[in-house]
Amino acid sequence: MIARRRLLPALATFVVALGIQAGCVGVFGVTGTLHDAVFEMCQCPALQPVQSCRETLTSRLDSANVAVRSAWLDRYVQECLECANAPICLSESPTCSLDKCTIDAECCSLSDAGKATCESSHCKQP
Amino acid sequence: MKRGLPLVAAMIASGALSAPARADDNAAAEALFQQAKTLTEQQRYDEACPKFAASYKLDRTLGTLLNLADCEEHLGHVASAWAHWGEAVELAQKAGDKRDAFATTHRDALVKRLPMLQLDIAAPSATLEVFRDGVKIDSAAYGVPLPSDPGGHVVTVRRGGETLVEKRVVVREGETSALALDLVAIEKAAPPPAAAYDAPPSGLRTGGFVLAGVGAATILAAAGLEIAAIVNKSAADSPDACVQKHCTPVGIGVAQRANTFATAGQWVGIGGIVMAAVGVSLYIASPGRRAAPRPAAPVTVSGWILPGTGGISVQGAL
Repeated sequence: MIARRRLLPALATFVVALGIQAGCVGVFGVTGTLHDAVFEMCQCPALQPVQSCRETLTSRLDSANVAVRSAWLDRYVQECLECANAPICLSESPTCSLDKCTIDAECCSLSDAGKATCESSHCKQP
Repeated sequence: MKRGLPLVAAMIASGALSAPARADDNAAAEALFQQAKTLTEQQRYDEACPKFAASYKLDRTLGTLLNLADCEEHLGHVASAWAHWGEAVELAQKAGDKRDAFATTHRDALVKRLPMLQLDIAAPSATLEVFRDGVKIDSAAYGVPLPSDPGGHVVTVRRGGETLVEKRVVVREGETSALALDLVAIEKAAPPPAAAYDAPPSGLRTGGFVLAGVGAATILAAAGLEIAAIVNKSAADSPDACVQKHCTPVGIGVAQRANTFATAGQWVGIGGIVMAAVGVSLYIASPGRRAAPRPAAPVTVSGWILPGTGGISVQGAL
């Protein structure tokens, strides 16, 4: 009887702890499908010509500072979830290029004079 | 009895003056005897008898014994008187004292008046003893009518120093009262306590302790994993990593790490809690040092796990 009285609170504690523990993943909100913006963008037909699209864009994003990367991601979510708009985000910093390129959309436009173009695998400002 | 009184008084004188058993007890015995004698003359037998008995204990003379028997007879303690008259007969006959006839007459006159108490013991027990007024009754006396002084008597059944049953019996002159006792039933009603023993720490208890310790360590490890999950989740929640579930490749990696740590922490934690619960249950349920042994109680541990939550139940007769 004494053992039972001692055991019940212990059991109750364990059950509560187990319930809390089991809910950790849910509580942390780390469940659900996440989308890789670069991967999905590179799947779009307009970006198929981009050489090593995924690796190239990933490298450019990683080398950018936090503010630039945040701005790019924010714009991607707002404008580029559809493939038709993928070139718009590609031509934004930091995914755009000032040097080597495969398509016009890959080149950063530095001025309002017009869009840069890709000529002979190199970006050319208007 | 009135005729006997002067005779007894005369015998007292000769008896009291006979040689005491031990010289150093003589004075005390004599003093007690004289006091008792005075009380007897005042017919204060209830006070006189104990003093005669005390005197006789110090100096076992026939005269004192005769006075003691006479005193008890006056007091109505016929069984005690009968026994002392008988003892006096033997003492007188051994000594060649002619007062044996006087003692015999008194002893025989009491036979018909003797109250008897008969203890009918249905099933003698090796561990239980029967006492009458605090004096142990030998098992050979079970079922035998025993002379007892009139009045109330207390019969007890004891195991060691513990009194299990106490009965009061009233016996009257010339009657036999019987008291039936079933020692087996008494023993069954009050079984002896389980012997305390120095049980070595049982394997179950030690196992429970170790399991609870491992469980606690596992829970700590789970806490570490959960902390790692929280850190990674914070990184994944930064605006340069993920926005509305859309992430940069780095953000994806960080979020996946957070999920991995959280999931690992969850299952490791559940495992730790289960181990700790089972360990503590075994530790509590297993017989400990100085505890009475008890049959092993089966302990059933069952768990349930659902997405996002879970539970455990431990059942068993404790």
